[in-house]
Amino acid sequence: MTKYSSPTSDEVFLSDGSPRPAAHALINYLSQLSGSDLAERKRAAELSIKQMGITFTVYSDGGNIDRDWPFDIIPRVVDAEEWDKIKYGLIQRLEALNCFINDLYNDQQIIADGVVPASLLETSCNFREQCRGHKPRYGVWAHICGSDLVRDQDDVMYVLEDNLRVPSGVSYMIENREVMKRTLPEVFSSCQILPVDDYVANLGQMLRSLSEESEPVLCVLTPGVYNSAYFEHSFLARELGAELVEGRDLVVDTNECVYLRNVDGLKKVDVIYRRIDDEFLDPECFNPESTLGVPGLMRAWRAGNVAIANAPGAGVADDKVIYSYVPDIIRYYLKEEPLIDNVPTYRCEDSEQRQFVLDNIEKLVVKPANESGGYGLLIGPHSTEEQRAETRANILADPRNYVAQPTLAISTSPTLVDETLVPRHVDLRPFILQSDVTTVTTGGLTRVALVEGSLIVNSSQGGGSKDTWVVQSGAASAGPPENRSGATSVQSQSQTQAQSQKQSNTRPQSSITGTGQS
Amino acid sequence: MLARVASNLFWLNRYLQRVENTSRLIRVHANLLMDLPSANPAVSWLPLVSITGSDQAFNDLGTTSDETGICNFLISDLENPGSLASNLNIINANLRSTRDCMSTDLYEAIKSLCNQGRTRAIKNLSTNSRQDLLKFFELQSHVISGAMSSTISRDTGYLFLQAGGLLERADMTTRILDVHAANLLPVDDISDLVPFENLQWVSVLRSLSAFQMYMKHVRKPVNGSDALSFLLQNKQLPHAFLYCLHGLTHCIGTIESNNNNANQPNEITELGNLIEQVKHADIAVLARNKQLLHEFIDQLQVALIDISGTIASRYFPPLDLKSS
Repeated sequence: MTKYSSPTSDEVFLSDGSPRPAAHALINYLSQLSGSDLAERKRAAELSIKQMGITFTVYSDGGNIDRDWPFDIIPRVVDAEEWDKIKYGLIQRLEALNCFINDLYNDQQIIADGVVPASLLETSCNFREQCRGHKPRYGVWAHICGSDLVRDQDDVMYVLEDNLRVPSGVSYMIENREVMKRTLPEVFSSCQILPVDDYVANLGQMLRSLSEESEPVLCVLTPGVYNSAYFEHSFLARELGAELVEGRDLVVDTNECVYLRNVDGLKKVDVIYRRIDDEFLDPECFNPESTLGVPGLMRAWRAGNVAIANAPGAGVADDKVIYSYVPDIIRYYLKEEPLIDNVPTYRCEDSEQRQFVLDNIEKLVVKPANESGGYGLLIGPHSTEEQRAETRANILADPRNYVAQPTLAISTSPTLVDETLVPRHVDLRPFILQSDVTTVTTGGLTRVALVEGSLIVNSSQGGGSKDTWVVQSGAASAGPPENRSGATSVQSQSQTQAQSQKQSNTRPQSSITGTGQS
Repeated sequence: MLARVASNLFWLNRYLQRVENTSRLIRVHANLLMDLPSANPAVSWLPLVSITGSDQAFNDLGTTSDETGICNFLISDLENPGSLASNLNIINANLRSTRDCMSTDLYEAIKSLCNQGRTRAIKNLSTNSRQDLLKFFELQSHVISGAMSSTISRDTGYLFLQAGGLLERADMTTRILDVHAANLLPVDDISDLVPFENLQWVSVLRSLSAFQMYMKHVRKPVNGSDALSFLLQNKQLPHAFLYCLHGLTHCIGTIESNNNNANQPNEITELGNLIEQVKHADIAVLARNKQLLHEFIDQLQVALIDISGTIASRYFPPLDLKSS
């Protein structure tokens, strides 16, 4: 472990090679294990993952479409004090974004005040005219947000993007913790690791709060068993006690209510946690070819008979050009300074900034405004002349659709490769929930680029994940919790067959007296 | 309960039962063949193809009809939609949509049947590893039914699982009787097989895990008439036809009483009729005349198809827009 050295900042070790305060207990523990011990634990973790059926789906894999979730057993550690600041920053961000979305679909005051240009909206492919004038409960459109955070070499955490459409990954965050408890159970007793599993309870509460019913019927709407995130849809439905439905399981009646097709007839649905994109939600309203959606769903939503999370149209703020305006949006609606920084972003729409991007493309990361999953991305320093020429042409053809950012030296975290710890780049995706209250996961999903030097953390492109420990460092040096010794409660012994035969010989009499007395 | 999910649960257990029964069938058949004179052309692996209802697929694929060819066809051939490997693929896909109705124990038991089974069900297995694999399928099926029985609430989903399993089991019992009892027993033509007739009835009983229970409850040497009566009419043997039908009647009744749907009868008429028909069948005559037996069993199978159709049209189709 002495040879460990990161080319940038590291989540576990400081630049002088000593562990960060929150990681002391973890490193103490790991130093007692040999490389082969660690490899053994890794195999055990992989077995647990197989047994628990934690998978992600790859489309092109033919018959065997589920792959086991790639997992690294060395956790990433976050100091609880630092986490608190990040948490408030995330809450501030989502609350401002929801004010923004609600404003766009109603009064458009922010455009009238000239903070955000009107042209931005006219060219946005995620602005839904069909949602104009709707007022969802609490004024909240994006109920569930997954924001990607990265740490630069200057040790500062930045928000890289906000996923406001159908962010995924939270089930892996919860299952990763479960796997870690099976894999390194000893370390949990020497470390104050904050639990993560309150997310599902918060999610359930948030979804229920969207309906006026006292016991609303919830369902999770999935595109189906072949979707890459199907594991998560099924996981969340089970944990929430919600129905997992496909579009064909739902029907909208002439009274503009949504119903489940049950074995004993129709049953009204109050809240839909949808995991399909806007365009496929309702063939009457959006893509008429869609077989995933429910005809009439938008009518029911507009009539206020069903709540949909995230609301249709919420994706308008999930746009990398709008991202560049988020600090202004926070100041405009909340009259506060942003608590977490944005990565500096050049808008190609602006001619001056566009020229800068074109001239410096080999140093920048260029992103299309509306793609997710790392598609269409150009990482300047790792690109070929051909790729750069193609991207330059794309920018010139459609400047509105491109932004660029400086290439960050994103932080690493120690990762187990062949019995040794080596630095691999990581990001962090916390999940934020908003309805009448706003909550944030404790930590989030840490994704790791398992390939040396790679910055791409997506599981479909060679990425894996780690457990994320938010640790109270003040308590980290304290010893293990008091020994809960002396199981003093004496349990009655299990009955044996011999006993029961003996008893049955004596029982008739006592039971006769028993009934006689009563 | 969602109609689509109910349908998947019903079929999940049908496929699970099919894997268990087909495995036992192949294993027992192999054991029987070891006891029979191998030179006789009437003694072969072909009846297994008919029992599983795959004659068409078998002819289309042009598989050889020797032991290796037929075992490959029944166990590992993914081009045969009825092979064990194909069944496991169907179960695996089905599991994705039914997982949220299951306990973790049940899910992991079925997952392990699929994972291990799909790895081990390869072509040209040695006799030894083939028998090991088939035994694994049978035992893992018991783990699954154990998990089903001890970790699932008796809710609507459970009742559909049960209904599917019982229907499939009743179907398999008739298939095994049909082929073994009628086709494999050419007693009229080939007299040198007569001494083996009872041996074949023992094999039929073993294919249905019923041999020991027969000895315990019938207490007579194995013979056609008693064996047939035991397998069709017994009310206590889990693989007996009537036992399965009574169980199915109970499932449907409970589903209806849970549903509180006043418009629907809480029974299936075809099911009641079928029970009466089997109860009053003249077993002694059927056991002596293989043509009559074959026709009788044909009627039972048609009736089972009708019952499955009634269940599907009553519970599984997308409902029309009638506000309830």
